[in-house]
Amino acid sequence: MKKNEKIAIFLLIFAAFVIVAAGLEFVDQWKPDLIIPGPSVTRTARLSDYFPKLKGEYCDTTIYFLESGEPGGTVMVLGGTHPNEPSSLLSAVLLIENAVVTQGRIIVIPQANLSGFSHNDPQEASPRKIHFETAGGGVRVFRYGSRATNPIHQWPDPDIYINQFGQSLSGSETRNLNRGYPGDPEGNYTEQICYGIMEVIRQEASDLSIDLHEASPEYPVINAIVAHERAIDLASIAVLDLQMEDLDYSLEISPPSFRGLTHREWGDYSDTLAILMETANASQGRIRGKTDEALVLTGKDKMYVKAAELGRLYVPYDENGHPIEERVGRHLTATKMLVENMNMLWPEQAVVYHGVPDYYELMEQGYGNYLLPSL
Amino acid sequence: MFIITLTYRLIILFFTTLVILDMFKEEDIWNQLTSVFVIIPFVLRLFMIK
Repeated sequence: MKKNEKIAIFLLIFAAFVIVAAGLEFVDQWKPDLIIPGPSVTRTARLSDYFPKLKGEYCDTTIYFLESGEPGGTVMVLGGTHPNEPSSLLSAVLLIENAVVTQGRIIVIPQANLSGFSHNDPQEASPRKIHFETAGGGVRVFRYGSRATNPIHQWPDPDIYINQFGQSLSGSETRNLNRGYPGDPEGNYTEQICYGIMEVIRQEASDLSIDLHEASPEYPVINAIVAHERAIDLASIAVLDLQMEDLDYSLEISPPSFRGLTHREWGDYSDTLAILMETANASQGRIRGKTDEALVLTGKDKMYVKAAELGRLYVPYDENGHPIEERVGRHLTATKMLVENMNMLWPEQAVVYHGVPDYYELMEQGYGNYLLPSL
Repeated sequence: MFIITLTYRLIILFFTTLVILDMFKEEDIWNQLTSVFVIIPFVLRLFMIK
């Protein structure tokens, strides 16, 4: 055997080691997150129960029903539309594991784009997982995913994505769950997930539907509630109540011409009151420094402090950052305000629940304290 | 979608085989090393892992 052939064999063995090591890391990201049903969870369903075409697909996410058994309304909370916006998943998890519903029901989909949790974005240096110590001393782990559907589930991206309304978007937006509504049963993988979620809203007759998000601190719509025009009165009252709790929110009306988003299409294609909420997440920003788990959990970043000093941000930013407790606390407190005001405006469709920590409790006790311990 | 994916994977398999065969003919070790860096993502893609 020639020398170069021996080297080739050696290099192939080396490549095999790298492929196995990298492959195991990537495959590990496919494993599901542990979400423990809390005291009010009466049953779970899958997205394919509402749109059977998704049965057997990775995206067939779990839906949790928190039912009181008492007549009332239905509220749906959606987390994980964008899996690189962790406060959305983490808020949904606290609802599932803590809420005690005494009237009406709450439907929670914590990982709307489950495919997006199975990978993360190349060249972003994002952590793959985030960890929390629970009150019992155990550790709970959640995936930090990508903004978009995994390309192993949907590919190739077109050069230009033309959505169902004929609007042109960049090609990668074809895998963005929050551009594909109201969904299309014959559309691409992401549009089919959108269709499935629309079917949940329609078949379960959700009265109020809330889509949880995060945004980079340089994005104008942040610490904000975006409401469909039919939900704007409700959102306005909630924003006033939140300000009385010292939580500043801006209120945006869903732009009628910005199509494919939850706050527009949920409201246009069903009877639900559609709301989207945003908090500040430095780990998805463009001017962040070192990207690691600490940045995701604390939001502390010198670059953003400097940007705030220069007046370039839409949220206050200092050396204390924006910790995950603040971001989850905002989502949960705002959700509570929206539900309470819905109850005031439409008492016949009231949803009453307790047991979920608010902003101040989370800031004091920490996020992990409210997670159920893993067995 | 299934046909496109199958065609895509066959193309990757074809080029991966070509690169491996070329590695055995290549005399320059740096070019052989370069082939390794091509093979790794090709194989991960071939098995639709990444």
